[in-house]
Amino acid sequence: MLRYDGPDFLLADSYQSIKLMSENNGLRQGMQIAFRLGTELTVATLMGALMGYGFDKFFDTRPWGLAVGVIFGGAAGCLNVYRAAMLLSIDDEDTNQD
Amino acid sequence: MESPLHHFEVHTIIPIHIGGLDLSINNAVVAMWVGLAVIAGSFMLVVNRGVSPIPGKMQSILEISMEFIRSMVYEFIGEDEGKKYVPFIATLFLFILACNLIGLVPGSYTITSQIVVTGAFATGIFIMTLVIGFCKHGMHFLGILVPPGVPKIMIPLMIPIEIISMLARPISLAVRLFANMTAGHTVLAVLFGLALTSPAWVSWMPFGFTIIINGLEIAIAFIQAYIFTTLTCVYIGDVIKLH
Repeated sequence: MLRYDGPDFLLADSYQSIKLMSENNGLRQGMQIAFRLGTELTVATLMGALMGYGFDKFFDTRPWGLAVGVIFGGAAGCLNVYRAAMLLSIDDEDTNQD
Repeated sequence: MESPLHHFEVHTIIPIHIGGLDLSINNAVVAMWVGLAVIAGSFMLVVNRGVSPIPGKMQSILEISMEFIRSMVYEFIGEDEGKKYVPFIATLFLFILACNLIGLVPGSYTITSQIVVTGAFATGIFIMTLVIGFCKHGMHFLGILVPPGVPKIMIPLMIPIEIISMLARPISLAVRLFANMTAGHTVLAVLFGLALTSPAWVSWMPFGFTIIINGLEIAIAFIQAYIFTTLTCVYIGDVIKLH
């Protein structure tokens, strides 16, 4: 039969780490939020640009596909950032209520 | 001096080539196996010992993790619908967490720092959400492309925006985990390189930072696994509730 004979502090450490996740840590949380919103905006804009570029390649409409794609991508990015921010603000309200 | 990106390289351990396919066992595959073994092993350890009503330390840890994951799934997907997704989300969370933490052991390999791995997870999840959406709502699922309360004149504009926003989701999911892990490990490698190459009277400084950042990386390993699974829950919840 398998048994865990390891040191107790390892278990205590992982327990603490799980607890740590739900607790507030200003700088770390802020960095995470900034990074998350940043990727949402960048990725969506790049995605739009890529789709526009692909459209141009297929239909030979250079440069209009890329131009419109970047605008649509940017709009999609803003939408994603807005949604992510709404989700974060719901999380904040929950923590404030606790 | 070794490049700080050296530890992201994949090295073949056992070469296996079947019909032009490279199925070699490399250090990334081994790291994945270790991740699986840690998760499966810790659960088997508790179950083999017998689950007791008064939980021991190990059982407590696993129970807390499972309750944490279950409450997360119920919060974002809903209690009735969420039940069947708990095993999937728990597997995803624990596997990513195990891989992130294993990567912090010096000399091991972080598979979540490979975009092909995170990309495969994200693509799988994206396809899964589409399948769930179409199975649950049929062709009405396409209604997800039109947010509620949008004036009719705006619909032709909103559809491409929503398509891009939906396609961007798996990419941002994959990039976020990959970039966080890669950046963290590169910083650690650079600082450790500085500690090794600088003279003794100054090398304590980068070495101290290596230790501090290693602690921060443990927190990031948990947070990134948490964010990845939370967003998976949000995406599944979105296609189930359809707005």
